[in-house]
Amino acid sequence: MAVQTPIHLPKVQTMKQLMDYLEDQIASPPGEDREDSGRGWPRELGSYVIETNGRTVPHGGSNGTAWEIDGTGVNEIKILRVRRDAAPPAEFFADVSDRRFFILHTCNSSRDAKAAVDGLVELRPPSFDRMWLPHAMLDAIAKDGGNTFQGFGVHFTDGFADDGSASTHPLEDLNLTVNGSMARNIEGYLKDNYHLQDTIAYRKIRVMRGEAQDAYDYVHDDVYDDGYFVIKRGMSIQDHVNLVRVSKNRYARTIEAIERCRLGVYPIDGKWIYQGEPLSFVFDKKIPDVQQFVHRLFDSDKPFQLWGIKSEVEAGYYSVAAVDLHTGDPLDFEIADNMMRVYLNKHGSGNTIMRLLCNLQARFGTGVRCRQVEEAARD
Amino acid sequence: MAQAYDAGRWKRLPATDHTRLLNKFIGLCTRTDDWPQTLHKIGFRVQLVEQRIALEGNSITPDIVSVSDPLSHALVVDCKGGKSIDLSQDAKYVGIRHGDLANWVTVRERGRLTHTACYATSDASHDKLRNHTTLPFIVFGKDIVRGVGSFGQPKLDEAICKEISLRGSREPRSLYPFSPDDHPSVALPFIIKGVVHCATNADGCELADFTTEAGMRDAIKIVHLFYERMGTRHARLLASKAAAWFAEMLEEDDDLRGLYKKLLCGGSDVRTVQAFADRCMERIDLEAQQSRMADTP
Repeated sequence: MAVQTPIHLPKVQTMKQLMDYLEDQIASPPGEDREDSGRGWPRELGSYVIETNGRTVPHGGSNGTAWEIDGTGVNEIKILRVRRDAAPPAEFFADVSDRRFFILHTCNSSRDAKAAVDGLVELRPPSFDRMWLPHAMLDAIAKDGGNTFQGFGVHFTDGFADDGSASTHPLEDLNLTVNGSMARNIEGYLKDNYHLQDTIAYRKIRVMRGEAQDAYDYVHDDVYDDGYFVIKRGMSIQDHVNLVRVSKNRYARTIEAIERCRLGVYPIDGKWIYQGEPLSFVFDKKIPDVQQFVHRLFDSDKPFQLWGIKSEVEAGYYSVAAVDLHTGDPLDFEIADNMMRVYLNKHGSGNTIMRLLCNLQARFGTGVRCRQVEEAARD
Repeated sequence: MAQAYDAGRWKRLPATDHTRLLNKFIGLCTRTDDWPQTLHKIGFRVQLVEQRIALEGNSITPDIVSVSDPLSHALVVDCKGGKSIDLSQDAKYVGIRHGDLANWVTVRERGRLTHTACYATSDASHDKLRNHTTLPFIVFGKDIVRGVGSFGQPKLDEAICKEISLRGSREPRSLYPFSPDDHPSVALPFIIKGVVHCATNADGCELADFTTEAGMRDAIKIVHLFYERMGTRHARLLASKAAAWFAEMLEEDDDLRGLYKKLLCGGSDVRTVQAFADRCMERIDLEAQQSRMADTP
């Protein structure tokens, strides 16, 4: 594989320069689908939304990843450089207008950009996390004003199979991408199948934004459940940037809704009042083996990264005093075969809930839902 | 970090009736799915927990004071898991005046504030308690919860003085995770969670010693929702008990003690934190298993 020269981003002086530069990076001839062009396109213009811990300093690093932020002529646009041991550096334009959720635009190869973002979210102590988009959120983005659903991808893996034995799920793995005007029909067929309907949580959706007459007037973006947006067709950089920003704003509102549920005693009108509610997860189909489910969920490993001390408080009903190993946040869980309550304390992050939901849908089943997330997605 | 899977190790001694009643009552005042939200729906929110309230010439420490702003009404609740009522305490509850509460609770129309003192109890205890007081009860049975007696507030009476089904409901356990009277095995999972959280976020700094009351406060305020708003005396009792339970667990395990010493110095070193967390978990699981075997005839 050819070694690519690292891109050094220019210190843009105006927003127009930034948009012009990004548009120039969409090197694909108008109308051509990069996905179908095999290895032909070494770089893709993509964007990530990442959550910061709100205490972001100009540089940092650990675990073989170092990063620094440099200014540009535009106050809210920075250049984020990420260096990793034995790997090419990657640079991103970082839109830091939202202090909690940065938007990173990259022209690096998707592989290098992904590796750099992976490095950022692995930093210890944690400084960054991904944006996690569960099925209901991706569905809501597909239906947002100005967006047209063009396709979807699923990637289901049974993550709760018994140790050392075969999966009891009718499908161990499902990896599927469907794009085009028939996509909704095919999704409908899958939903109608009893065995498949639980395995089709979106890994990604394809969304068109703009007007399809001219390649400079529209984009087709793939939107992934880990907050990655990549242009697949079209040249309208403004539609791409708007899609990312609108989706980020929707996500931020959902996180705020979740964090309003954080349990604690808060000062209100000079007095202290207990507020909040447990996050309520429901399961369309009962958990067949709750012990096994609890064992798997709290095994400390990726993707859930949860550690916890389990207590069977009634037959088939478990309480778990847990810690999210990614953020260090404490959480409490109560789990039975058809429900799960999650107690987030007043310092907890809503992102923990979105990561949990997203990964449960991809590894346990699409039928796992969180009432508060669904309510926020509907707003 | 994964531990060998043996779900039998997860069976623990139950929390005391008192702790469970606190959870059940707080659950009624919270938007908690799979549990009735009866009091939450008419505006009740928990405002005080184990707070000493001075009365004329004496004082009381109710378990909970929950207030409905729309009704301008407070419920002063004593959770009774036992078989008898302290008559002098009962007389104090009967003697609470509206002004006694006004300094402690937040309500928009303070001048209209009314209150009801009541007991929250179980079916079995209610049979033994009901003839010793004139105060109303909230009685938690296996399948229903119901108010017994008059609460003196029409909308409250309408909401609670009927049979409310608990069938299919799941009792909340984490709203009030433990009390000083609970068995250590009930409290330690939460306490250790707090210690692991503090260690994970230490950011290279030395940690407080959690075997002391002062050090344990850092962990408890993270894991016990109400700790920071408890009456001072009760909060200190809870922290000192928790510190003693934690110290006792360390005392019984040389390896664990060694890991703990490293943890105190090592801050957020991930491997040390994880090794400590796993060893604590093994210790708790093992003790639960041994106590069950000891209980088996």
